[in-house]
Amino acid sequence: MSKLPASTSDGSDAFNSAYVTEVAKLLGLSIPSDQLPGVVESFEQIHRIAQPVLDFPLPDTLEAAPQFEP
Amino acid sequence: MSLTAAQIAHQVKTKERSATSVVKAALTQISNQENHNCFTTLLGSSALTAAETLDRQLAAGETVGPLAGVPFAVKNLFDIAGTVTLAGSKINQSHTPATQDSTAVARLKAAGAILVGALNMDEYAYGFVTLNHHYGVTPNPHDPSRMSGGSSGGSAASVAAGLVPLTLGSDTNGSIRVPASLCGVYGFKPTYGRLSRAGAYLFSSSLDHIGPFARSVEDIALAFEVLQGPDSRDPICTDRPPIAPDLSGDMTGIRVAMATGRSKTIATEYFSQGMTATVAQALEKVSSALQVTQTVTLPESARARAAAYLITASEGSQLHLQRLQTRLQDFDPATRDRFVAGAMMPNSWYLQAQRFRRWYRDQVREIFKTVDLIIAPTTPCPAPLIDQTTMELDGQTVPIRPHLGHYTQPLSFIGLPVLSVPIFLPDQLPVGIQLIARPYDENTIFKAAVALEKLGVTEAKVASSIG
Repeated sequence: MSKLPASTSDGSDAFNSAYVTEVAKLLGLSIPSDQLPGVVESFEQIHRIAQPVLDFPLPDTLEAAPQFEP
Repeated sequence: MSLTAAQIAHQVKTKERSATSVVKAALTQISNQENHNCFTTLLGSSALTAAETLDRQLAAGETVGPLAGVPFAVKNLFDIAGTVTLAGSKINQSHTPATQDSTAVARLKAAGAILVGALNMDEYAYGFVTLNHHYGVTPNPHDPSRMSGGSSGGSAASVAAGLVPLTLGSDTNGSIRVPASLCGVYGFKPTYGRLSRAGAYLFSSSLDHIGPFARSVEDIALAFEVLQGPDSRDPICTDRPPIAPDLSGDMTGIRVAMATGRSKTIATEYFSQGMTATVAQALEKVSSALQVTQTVTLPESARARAAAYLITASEGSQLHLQRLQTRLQDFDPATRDRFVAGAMMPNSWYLQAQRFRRWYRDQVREIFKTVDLIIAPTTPCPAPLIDQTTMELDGQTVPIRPHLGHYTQPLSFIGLPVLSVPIFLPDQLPVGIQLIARPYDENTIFKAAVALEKLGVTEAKVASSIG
């Protein structure tokens, strides 16, 4: 799984801000400008949380369960 | 109302008290204690009618159910016929009333319990605090300056306050266990799929569970017993036959382990991280009472929690996408931004999280080949102050809201059955300890819980701090 852009103040915040803005259009979401920072911050958080999961090596044969069973 | 559900049912069945008098007392107490802010909907009229009907049945010599005359209430995401299911939101106020009861409500009613109302929660169950933007804060009955936990805060607080002996909540990442811990009551999350969720407003389909709150193990077991059973209305609900709860307290042959380390070595592994001294003492008490001699490591629990977060964000957001498109400003700001961001997650992240989930489940299954019951703290700390936003976790300052689920999330992620049992240490606010078993082995949990209760290690006290 390829690395995501680092989520720091080195410019990747701008990356995520641009991503959020573009995906909002695709999803038909009208986010007022004053609320955009909050959404970007939430997306940054998801981004940070996702990385360790995406980094974890799983065998190609391991499938996601269509219906999860404990 | 300090009586348990079992005690009330006994008194009603033996005609020591009428169901009507019990329900009237509960309604009066709820009305007199509005500062609890537990209830969003009161159903006084229908509750009294149901109680009067039950009394007539008893007078006629008819058989009544095991919860006869027991007042109960449900998190306001359970459908109640004739009532709008709010799910803690403003948007749902414009929905039409439910046309039938959720399966769980119907089954409790069929057992003779009397529904008195619906309870406050975090909006759409997305939170651990019950600081609801639309319906207000539900404070902790043991200290009103502190939070009750969430998202089933109204469900836990109303039991802790003695307003009702039995409530229902839902648990996606800890929303039954976290408020149970902070409010000092029992909160039970059975195995994923064990109880029907039909008519309960979904949050994250592949993670959602429902379950009861009460002040005794017997009451939890009574509710669990009548809530079980296949349900064609819920495709996830198991068709396994219901089990009879084992309340013998017999721990013979049950191998108990503590999740990652004793309190003396805290802060070394996941299920010790951030544990306060109160929680460490409570864990030690339970460990000692159950004669725990071994520890187990649930591998990659931090990643499991992260994956649960991703699945929750994705599934929850997908469910609400149309509302986000059309009524964005009617969301609680505390949930709005997270839902919007979740809707933007690449699907590869979601699918990786689901694949990781299967891997993690397989690892934990291996652990259950050598142990039968695992204990772990429920929350890292007792109830934080309502306006508190951060907490210390192993020397780091972290936001409170997500981290109250630090210990609960990796367990619901793979659907394990868990009971949070209440511990009151002298001069301390209560905390919970999780009793965790393999899937569908709820009885091992009941045995341990009864043993702890008999030893006086666990106890759910009715709060007296809010008048």
